[in-house]
Amino acid sequence: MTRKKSLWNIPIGLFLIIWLLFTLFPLTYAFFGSFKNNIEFLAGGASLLPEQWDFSNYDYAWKEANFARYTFNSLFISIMSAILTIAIGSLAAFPLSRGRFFGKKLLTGVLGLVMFIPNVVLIFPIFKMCQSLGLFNSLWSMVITQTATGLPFTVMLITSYMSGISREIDEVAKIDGCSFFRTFSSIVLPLSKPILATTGLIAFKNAWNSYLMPLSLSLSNPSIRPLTVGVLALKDSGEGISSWNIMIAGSVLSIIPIVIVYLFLNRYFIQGITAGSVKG
Amino acid sequence: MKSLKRSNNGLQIFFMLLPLLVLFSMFCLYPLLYSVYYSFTSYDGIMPATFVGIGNYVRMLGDTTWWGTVLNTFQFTVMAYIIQVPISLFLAVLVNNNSKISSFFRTIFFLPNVTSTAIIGIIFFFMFSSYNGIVNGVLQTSGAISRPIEWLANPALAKWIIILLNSWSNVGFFMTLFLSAIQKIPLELYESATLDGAGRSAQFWRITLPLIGNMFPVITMMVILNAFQLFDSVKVLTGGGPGSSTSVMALYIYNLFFNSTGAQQGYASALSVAATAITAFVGFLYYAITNRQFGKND
Repeated sequence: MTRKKSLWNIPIGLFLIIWLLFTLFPLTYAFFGSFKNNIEFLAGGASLLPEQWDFSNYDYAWKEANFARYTFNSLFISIMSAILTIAIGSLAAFPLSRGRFFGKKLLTGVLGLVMFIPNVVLIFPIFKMCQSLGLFNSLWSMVITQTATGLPFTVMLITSYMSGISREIDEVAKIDGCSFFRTFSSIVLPLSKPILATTGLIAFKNAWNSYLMPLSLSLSNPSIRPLTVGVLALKDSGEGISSWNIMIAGSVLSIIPIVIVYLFLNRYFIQGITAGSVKG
Repeated sequence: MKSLKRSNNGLQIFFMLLPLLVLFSMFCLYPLLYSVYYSFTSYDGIMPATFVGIGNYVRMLGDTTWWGTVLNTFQFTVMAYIIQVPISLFLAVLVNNNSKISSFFRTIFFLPNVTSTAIIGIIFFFMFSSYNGIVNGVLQTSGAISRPIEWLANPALAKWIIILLNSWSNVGFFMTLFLSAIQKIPLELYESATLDGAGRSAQFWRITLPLIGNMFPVITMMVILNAFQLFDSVKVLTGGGPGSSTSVMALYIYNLFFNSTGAQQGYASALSVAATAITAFVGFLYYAITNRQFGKND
């Protein structure tokens, strides 16, 4: 029995290690590549580590290629849309989990369906709308678009969490004369902290990584680009491969913050996935 | 008194839902109605649109490039399923224990999910570039190939790179879904199976697989709906090229809206309507199959 088990452990261990290396390879490659100067990076070759550690890519990206601005934009968009998502999402989730009103079933059904509509279908009308509302050249156009398109999923997540909180508590609150909103703000909302943390993080992550939406909304104004768009804009700019070293430095700037957040708070990220999707 | 309180609650409910309803109307309902309206017009995005009836839909039926992108989207979906689902299920079974090392594997395997597919796309683009990339570098240094392989200029190979990138991004996500389903299986089942002398693989086929069966519809729909959103990786890696051989529905629609000459926005709206209809149909099927009721806990 033990012998059989130990024989099995070899291919299993090997498979785990291969997948581990596959997962880490692109990240490691980008990290070390960002310290190669452009001549070394473009020379290709099989070596992962730089021959000479060169920090000028970051210096150039930060100062000359406007990445300081892009990083600020990304932070602004992500933080604001996380805050708005938590606020609007929790406000709407409470009536959906406890309230009785006309059209509740319809609203929940519609929210569940629109979650799946491809963003590419929505973005052009949004683009035109932002233009005519005068929102166009502001970071807020991205904050609001990002928040709005993520909300159906967020509301679903918070609603199902709130539905799991015992109703006996709010029965007591009702007898004590608490209004519907008071029951929400002083009882159910504090109890929902874990799911609010999760949804806030997911909203932050989605905004930080988003590409299609901010790409479209910043087409005519490069100064409101977030990092993702800023990095990839260099690919299509006339400079071609001469800016690869800046792109790789920009990629690392985009990856590192979110990876650090994840490593410290991975429990919340994973909770969001399992709470949202696993309901057999 | 009571009815006063009721209506007061009704007002509170209304105001709590209001921000969601406003955003929903502006950023979802309005764009959809907009697309439906402009799908019956010839429109360049600026000048007034002219009504063309169902002309755009007729054009869609005969547009071989469009159907090519539909076929590619379908191909990516099927390949994603065939590759990602077994790997993620296998990984889930392997890391399903309380040891420190398994927790380390779980954390790393899920890591791709927090990174941007567009940014990882550019990293893959560098890795697989013909003359500067590390993949050809390793293959040439080791003598496996003598001339660099044009990974991204060859449609068949480029498709595999896109599939590879998507597997890199998604497997950890699906693994986490499977894990949470596996962890709901009562441990006693495994204990009694061990007592009966069932080995690891017998336990997998007889207990784990049947009991996580209800995860498969969920994952199937996720794979399909992910495929409709497929955009970042294709745009960054190949831009849909060479030609439109690796393009997908979302990229084709995007280019018609934002990178086209002539009045293509009406036609792009018609394609948007078609894509939405397909998505809504799949989404509806999803709820019908899983019988999942929105907002209700188990």
